[in-house]
Amino acid sequence: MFSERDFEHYLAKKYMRTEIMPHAFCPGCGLGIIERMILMAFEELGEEEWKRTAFVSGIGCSGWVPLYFRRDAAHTLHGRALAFATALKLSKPDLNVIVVMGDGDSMGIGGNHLIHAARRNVDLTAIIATNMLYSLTGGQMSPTTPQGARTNTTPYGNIEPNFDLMKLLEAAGATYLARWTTYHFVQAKNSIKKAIKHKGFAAIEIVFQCPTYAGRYILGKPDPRDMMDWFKEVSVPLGKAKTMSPEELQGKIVVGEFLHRTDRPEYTEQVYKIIEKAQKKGGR
Amino acid sequence: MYMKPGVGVKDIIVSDKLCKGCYLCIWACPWDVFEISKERNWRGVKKPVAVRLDQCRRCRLCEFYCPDFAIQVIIDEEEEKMLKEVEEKYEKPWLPRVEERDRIVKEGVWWLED
Repeated sequence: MFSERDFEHYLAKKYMRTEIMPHAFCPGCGLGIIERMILMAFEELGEEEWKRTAFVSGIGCSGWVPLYFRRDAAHTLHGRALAFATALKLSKPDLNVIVVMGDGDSMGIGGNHLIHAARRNVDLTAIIATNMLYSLTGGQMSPTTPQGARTNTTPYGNIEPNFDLMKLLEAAGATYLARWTTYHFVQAKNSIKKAIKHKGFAAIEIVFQCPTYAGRYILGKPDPRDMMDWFKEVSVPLGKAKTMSPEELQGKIVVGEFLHRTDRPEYTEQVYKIIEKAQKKGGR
Repeated sequence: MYMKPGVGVKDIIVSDKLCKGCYLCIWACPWDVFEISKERNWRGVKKPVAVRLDQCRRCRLCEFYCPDFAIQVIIDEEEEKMLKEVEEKYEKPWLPRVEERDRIVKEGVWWLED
């Protein structure tokens, strides 16, 4: 039936450019798992949803994720993926636009674009892959590096506190928020599925393992298996986290579905309403 | 039905071309199916090999956690069909009675009051 030489995974055969695989990620990198989450979400959503999807990605390791899919993908400027995606969504409103960004890409360089896309409530799905440092350029400190961690640019420990993306985006006005790790595979897949169907700005933060830099420098665990065990130990579900004190939550990853609201108006619809209004009577 | 060990699984293929040797499949497998091979393949990777196939319960966790799309559990379709038939024939008729029992248990032991 199958021989090992011309083996292709059934998801890869259906959705991916197998001619350029194996992909460029390090052994044990969690971005491959994020790819599989996206593909399995589309496998359950159906062919039609997949055919009207476009991907946008920024710069960084996570920028490589959509390039392996057999779909249109734009590899844009550093931090400007959301600006590009907003324009794409406005020009073709019935397109599913999925933005895959890293933590440095979305919160470091493109922080302004992130909060303003959330404020406008554009109908995008932002998948923010967090590995706690800039891994493509060699392990520099990023906005999500935990306090006290040792990286290449902070050899005596990081003195800056890190971002809580969920609180930031909730204040900015996003309408769907979830945070998972690669350990929570099925939950993250279901969240992606929900976010694609959701109308409005949806952000899913997926904390994934980077054994090469985050594993070696921040955690001292160069094996991806140890990092997965660490995710299991450290992650706290949202319901349990509400009963815990801030001291207990120090150094933990709170996972869960943070927000799902439908009361805010969507940006693309409003733009097209304004255009219609302006074309009717000279704007009056 | 799916928890029976070694039933309905034909093979677990690990690709020579795609596997990078992170061994997340070994970490993910709850039934200890895999073992690291002794020799390196042409890519210089000591691949995981499914040695204890009779322990496989088809949970496919190794597939889910493989970042490189290098692993696939191949399910025996004929056996799967047979198992589904058995389920249809012998387990389905009992489902309403099980649900009825659960409902009664949930409501409380009502017959004690009479």
